[in-house]
Amino acid sequence: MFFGSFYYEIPKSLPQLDITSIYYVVFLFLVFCFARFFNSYIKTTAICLANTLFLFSFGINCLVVAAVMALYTFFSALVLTKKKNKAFLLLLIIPEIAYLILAKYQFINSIVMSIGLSFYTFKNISYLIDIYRRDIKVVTNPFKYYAYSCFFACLIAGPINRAGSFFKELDKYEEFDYVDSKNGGIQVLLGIFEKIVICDYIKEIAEILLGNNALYGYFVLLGVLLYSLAIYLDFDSYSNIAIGSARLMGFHLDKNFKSPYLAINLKDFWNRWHISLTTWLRDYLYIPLGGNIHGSFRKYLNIIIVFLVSGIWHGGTLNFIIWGFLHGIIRIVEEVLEKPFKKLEINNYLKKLFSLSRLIINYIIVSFLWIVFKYSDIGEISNIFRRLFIYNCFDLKALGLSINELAWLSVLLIIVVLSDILRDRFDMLMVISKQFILIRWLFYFILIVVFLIFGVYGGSYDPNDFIYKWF
Amino acid sequence: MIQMTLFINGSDMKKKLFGQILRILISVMMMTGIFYHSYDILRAKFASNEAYDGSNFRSLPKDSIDIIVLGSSHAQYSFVPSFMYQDTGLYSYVLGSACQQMSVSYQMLKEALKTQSPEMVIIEIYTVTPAKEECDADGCIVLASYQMTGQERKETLDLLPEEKATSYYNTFINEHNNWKNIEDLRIFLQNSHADSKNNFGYVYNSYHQSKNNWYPNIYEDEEYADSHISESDLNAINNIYSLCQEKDIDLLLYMVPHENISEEDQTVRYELWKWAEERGIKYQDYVKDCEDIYYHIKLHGDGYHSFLNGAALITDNLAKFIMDNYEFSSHEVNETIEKALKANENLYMLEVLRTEHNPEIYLRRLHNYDGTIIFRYNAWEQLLGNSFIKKLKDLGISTDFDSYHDYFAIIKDGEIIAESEDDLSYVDEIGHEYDISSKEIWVDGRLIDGDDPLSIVIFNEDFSDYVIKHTQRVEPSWDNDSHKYWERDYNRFYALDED
Repeated sequence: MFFGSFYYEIPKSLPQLDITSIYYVVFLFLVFCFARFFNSYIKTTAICLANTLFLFSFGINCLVVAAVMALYTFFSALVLTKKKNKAFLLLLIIPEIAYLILAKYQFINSIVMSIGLSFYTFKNISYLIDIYRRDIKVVTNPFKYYAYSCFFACLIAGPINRAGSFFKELDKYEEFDYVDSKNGGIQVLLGIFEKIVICDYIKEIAEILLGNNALYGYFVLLGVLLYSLAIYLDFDSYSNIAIGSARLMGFHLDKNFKSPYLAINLKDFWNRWHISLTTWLRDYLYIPLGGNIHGSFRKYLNIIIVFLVSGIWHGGTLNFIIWGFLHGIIRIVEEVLEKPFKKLEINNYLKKLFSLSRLIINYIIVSFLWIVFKYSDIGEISNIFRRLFIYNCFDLKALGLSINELAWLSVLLIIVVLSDILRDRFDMLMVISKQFILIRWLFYFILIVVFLIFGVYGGSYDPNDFIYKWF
Repeated sequence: MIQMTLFINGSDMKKKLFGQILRILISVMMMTGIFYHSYDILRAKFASNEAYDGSNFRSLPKDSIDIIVLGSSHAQYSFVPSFMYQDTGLYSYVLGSACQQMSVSYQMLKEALKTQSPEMVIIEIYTVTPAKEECDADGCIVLASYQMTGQERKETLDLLPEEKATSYYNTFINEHNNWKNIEDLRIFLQNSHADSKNNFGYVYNSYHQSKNNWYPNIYEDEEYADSHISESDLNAINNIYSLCQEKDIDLLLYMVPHENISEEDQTVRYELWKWAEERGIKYQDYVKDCEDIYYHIKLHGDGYHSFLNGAALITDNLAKFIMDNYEFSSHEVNETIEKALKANENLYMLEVLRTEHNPEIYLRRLHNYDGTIIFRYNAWEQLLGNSFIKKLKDLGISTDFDSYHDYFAIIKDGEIIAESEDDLSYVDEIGHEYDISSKEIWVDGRLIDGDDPLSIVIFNEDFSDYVIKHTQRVEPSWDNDSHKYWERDYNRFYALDED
């Protein structure tokens, strides 16, 4: 718990290094000191130790599984450099995929589901494929590979960073960049703020709206739309903490989200949502399957396959497969329907209006698909849709929320929309860092006060409960 | 060989790097400083009432309090420091919390002794009895801990499972959510501690139910074999006793009547009294004595917590017991405390008079009242009892209460400022106008009362509120439950003292 750690006693056992805990902030600062100011050797050692400590804090099983997988991939890559054979590559990848599926779907109870398994398995696979393709040079130091594969900053929920750029930055011998590190630190803190103040509050309200069977119609609709925002903010905040953490240590990971709800269709949405996964699926699945060069039918089939894999990757229950399949189907339908409109010539004003309506429609479609994503029980999904179509009077009192709570929700929604529009156009971290020092610190002060008052923490609520945590 | 090489070449680079490291350290320190300072300020703004109680106690002048009262909500609701002061001139403070266990009371006492050196500690013992099982123990410990600081607070929270203790150590974790119900945003501009009201630990409970002649259970068998004081309670009370002995503090125990007292509760209570007797510690068992002090559960309490008039009863009795049995040698007058106690006393007094219908009790209290009282006696056929007349005369009333002469009087600060057997018109030094006749009472152009046989009108300090007590001779009815005569009409009182 975030504030629990202010207790003045040193914890008796190793605390879980949850990414929004004060322990993580202290841990990150220590790793930063070693990783940023010393040479590559010390940097690698520091990150390896940090990875080990981080994994161990979630249990010895997590550490063992991740380390064995990394070691397996490391040696497989060494073998691949000597024998370039597609079948052999597949043979090497199969155990990784098999373990992921067995652990995720729990076909065998004794298989350990490690934290971040989906993420580092995809990293391991991409590394082997890159080696096979000779896109990158093989790493001969197992510690370096372990530093990459189990990189703690993005271990739990991505982004799925690529090996090439990581090793380059690991080996880079450069002058310490104060502004870069500072921006990394600020991004971590903003990520924590986004999670604890904005996301968790919206998620709390969404859960009330969706979970209360006495609420119908507009309430359920509002719940669906809010949950959609919550899942985005949850994942985006994690990505911000991860990217900021990596940046602190001199690693520059690509953005994982680019204001996804400003997308005008599903294709656009997936170019903005969980970008590291989308590009992974594109580079290592869609293109190898033939992409769009073998005609429309093959293209649509490939799209369906990619989304099905995405669904399977996300979770071990049927709803994820349905979710992936629906995304694929709607993506194809959109493409077919949009074709005739592409040639239409309309004035700018109408174009903007058209884009706005597409944006809203897309947001609604994505939001409803998140309901399929959220509930593993089909009965619960149908219950949501049943309640959605019962319209009675819309009395806010039924929510049991005070005026203050409703007002704060409105403020948060405005903040989310505005910040997303701004983030879509500017690098907000640079904008902040260019401000006059007093304005900057006033901004930090306001954020701290808002965090303390409006943050969702205390009681039984766990801010470390990220939706993507166990994917 | 491990090379701990920094990324620096040359002295300029070195200077630049160390400058940057310095900037990082300053930024981290500033950020941490802002965080903790904001946290500290906001914690005070959002603090719970319990935290204010603790803070108010610590802000009292050092070594000024004569009596510390420790106990559960039964203590918080039953002991009024303002009335103790009114009765004895002593300063007291209730350090209580919901379901406060003895072990928590022990910590509370240690906390109190950091700033005060009382001559007496009074312990309310409800939570020693098995009835305490109805309490939500964890939440209560947390609430109690809010009133404490440092080691005492930690040791109190250590009574909880470790996880909970950790999360509750900082009160703000839970209290920051108070923003959801804040109505007045000026809270952020106010100095919350200075504005909080100091009731000296008393919790005001004005709710008053209709009369029901109901006393708590008293069992004939004084011992019940299967019930004993728990080991932890015994340890805690032994600790309190040792600490009091070490500091030369008198210890007094008491128990407030409440509903649903079982045989086990009674056995444990008696076991504790025995423990006290063996050590020469005095106690007041108001469960056993409730009839003697006129404490009827439904009249003076909501079943578990005393109303203000019940608290006045208990406090008055404790005050009398203390004055009869103890001496306080180190009491020193402190104007700040007296002012605060007096302010509370005036606030509560009218409410006590409004809700207390037993003339035995409320005429005694009226005797100490510093406000304005109008007294009207309309000559009537049914005479008042001698004891009742004596209490009226204690107020300064000089008439014989016969059936031939009316009598009207205005009493201020215990002195009669105007009296007459005929209609009385009077303007006091502040300018309040009184017109009193056998038919009506008018004050400042307001009709206050009609033609009751006997009326006592009590005004508050600024005349914004008043209470009227009437009496007439009504035959009491027989109560089948208690097998006693009882007056059911509580808008009027019956003179209990029959010859």
